[in-house]
Amino acid sequence: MSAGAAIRAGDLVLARGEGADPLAAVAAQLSALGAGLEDVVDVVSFHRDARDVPGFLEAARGAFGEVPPAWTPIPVVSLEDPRARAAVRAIAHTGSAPKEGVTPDTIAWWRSLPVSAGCRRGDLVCVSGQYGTDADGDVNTPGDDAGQARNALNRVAEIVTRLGGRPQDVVDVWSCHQDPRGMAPAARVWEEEFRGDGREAPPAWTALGAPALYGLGMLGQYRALAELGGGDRVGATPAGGPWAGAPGGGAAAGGPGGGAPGGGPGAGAPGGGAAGKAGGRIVAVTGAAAEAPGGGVESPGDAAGQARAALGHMERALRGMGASLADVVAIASFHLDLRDLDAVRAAAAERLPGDRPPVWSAAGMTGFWRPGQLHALHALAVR
Amino acid sequence: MANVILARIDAKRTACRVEGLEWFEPLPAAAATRAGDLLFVSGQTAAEADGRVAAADDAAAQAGEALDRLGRVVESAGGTLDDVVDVMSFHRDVRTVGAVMDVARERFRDPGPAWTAVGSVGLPAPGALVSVRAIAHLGPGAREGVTPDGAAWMRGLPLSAGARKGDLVFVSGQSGLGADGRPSAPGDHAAQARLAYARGREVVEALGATMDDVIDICSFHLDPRGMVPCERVHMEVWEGVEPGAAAAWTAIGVPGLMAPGALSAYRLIADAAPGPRVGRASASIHWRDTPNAGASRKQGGRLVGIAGEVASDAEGNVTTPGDTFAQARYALRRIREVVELHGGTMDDVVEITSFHRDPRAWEIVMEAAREFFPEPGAGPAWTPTGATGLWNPGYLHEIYALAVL
Repeated sequence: MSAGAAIRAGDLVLARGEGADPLAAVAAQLSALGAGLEDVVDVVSFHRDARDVPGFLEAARGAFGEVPPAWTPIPVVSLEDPRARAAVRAIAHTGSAPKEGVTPDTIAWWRSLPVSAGCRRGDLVCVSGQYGTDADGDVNTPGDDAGQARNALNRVAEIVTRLGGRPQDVVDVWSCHQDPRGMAPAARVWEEEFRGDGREAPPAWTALGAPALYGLGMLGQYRALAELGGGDRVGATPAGGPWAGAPGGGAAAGGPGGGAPGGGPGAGAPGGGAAGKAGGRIVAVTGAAAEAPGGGVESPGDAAGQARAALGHMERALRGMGASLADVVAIASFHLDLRDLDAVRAAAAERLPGDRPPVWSAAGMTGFWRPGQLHALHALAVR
Repeated sequence: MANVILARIDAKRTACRVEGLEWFEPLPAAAATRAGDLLFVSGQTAAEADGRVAAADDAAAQAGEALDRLGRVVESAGGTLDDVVDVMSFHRDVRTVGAVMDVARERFRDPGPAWTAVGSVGLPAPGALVSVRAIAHLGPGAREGVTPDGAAWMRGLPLSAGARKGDLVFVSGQSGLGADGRPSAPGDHAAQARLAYARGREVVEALGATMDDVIDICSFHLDPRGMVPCERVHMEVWEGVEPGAAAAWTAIGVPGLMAPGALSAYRLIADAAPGPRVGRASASIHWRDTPNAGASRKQGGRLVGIAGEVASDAEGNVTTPGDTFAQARYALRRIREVVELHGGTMDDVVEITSFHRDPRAWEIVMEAAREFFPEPGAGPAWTPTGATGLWNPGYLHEIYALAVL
């Protein structure tokens, strides 16, 4: 069994829930591991229809205690359970530090929602998926992927800073794009944001095509995890792997390398490896995909072959960070066709330890970095 | 739902007011329209007038209800499901297509209609899992159907690879699959498109028409970026065809296709009516020098295929980035322009299938459409569905239409 429903790693507890009441399922899983909804600092919810999101959030009002968690709702093409309308993955922090939440004035419209734009407990800062909007919730720069990406990443930096961190503490970013072709303009912004000084490795980056976002006209959504302290952000790009030649990356995690999706030689995939803090415990692995050495797609059209290739990249990236597949606490797998999930799980079962399976969430999405990539497998490890 | 009342709205398109589907009545659309022998039925779902859906998590039950509604519409117009020649169904989750086909098998007799089943990222009612739109031919004679050996995998399904009645031939979405239904060239968009076209040709010819009779092409792509290699194939297939003699092509990104591993599906309409194919393109269309028409018909035929219209200017720029209403109005104006180039008017537009980057856009699009179809409930049969990507990432809608002159 390579897919679990809940797991504990130190003071972190991760759980997932589906079915009629995914949040109740999460609560039950957390409870079994000594945590509660009031400990939750980060929620990702997957929705079969974007129009369900406001009601789903509203139904959760008050469920998480006085400080609501960061919350990233992601409309998806399909969920693991074909009959489900939503699935939830939550990260709880059971430490003794107070749970803090912040929603800056720049996105004041969020204050009507039962979520925190950013939530911190201890050294962990979780940032809800940010959009390119103004304080009233109107979309900035309509039709402009790059403009919205810049605005959203500025919000991520603002929120992390307000919670006592630095932008350099961000180790993990998920971006959802209303059109997979929106990734290329977003990648140029990413280069500016994270490679400007070339000193530190960029965060791990998982870019996903989503069928819709929270509001009409939103083109991108940027969710982040940060770990405070622990020195510099460092990355690992598997030696000889497809991302090793990332320009400006050096020994750091890869990055988009400026290559356009579908084109661009080598080093094209977002994140391209793993990232974490030098002295930290969290390692994020970019949505591993079937990236061929030198660029292009490994095992075209072969769901199992692409899963094996992605898992190989994941394993090497973790090793580069001094971790292993045994440290993986959560996998979020994204698929162009969810009918492939069984083949992916079977490939994972060959590599993942059976005794402590990671929490595994799966969703169908509209596209990944390169056309032809069938999956993106995001991993979170605690070393 | 009881009887269907057919009301003649004007001399051209006849809108069908359908009891139980009154929610169409305030809209610039109709549940169904009739023009001559052809009946165009909008996407039927299991949603009630208030948007609620009874079998919220059961795609098969919803499909049963949608097909029953389709059947009642056709019967009220004097036909039966045996007259249905073309179906397109939009599925919120393509894993349920098999269950939907099982339900359809109880209702469609062999040889079945052409049927193109693709994924959708959103239907008008958030709870709807499947939408089924159809064309029925109510003229004399029986539906012919053919499924060649190369598409043998389709034989277990309640459909034909191609169906014909009268002069019209409809080809089910063809993909680059072997006879066993497995992809012939895994991961290769161009190779699969080439095979899909070859299969489409085989079907068209088996039904007594030729590729010169093809007036309308709808291609569905698993990843919108896959359209680029498919464009090259399109140019190969139609090489040497002047725009004034070309078919209309609509290319849409969808989140799923019927067969796992298929990257595209090509649905064709051919008209065996006499005379050459006549293509027209509006001045604003940036691909007007290619073998593509903005709208196409046979000289001796009445059916016009109108390529999905988008917010593109003559140079291919997005006219109004991020503006849901303005992009819809612009696309509808282009439809009007190209129908007029064929000598028709918006009253001749019998069916619209609109593809939206965000399903929430549909209500705004309806507002934009009132200018073009001012009488409530008397517009074209209209099926909206959510798409994963259109030709240019800046397009918010692509509005595909059929007209009968």
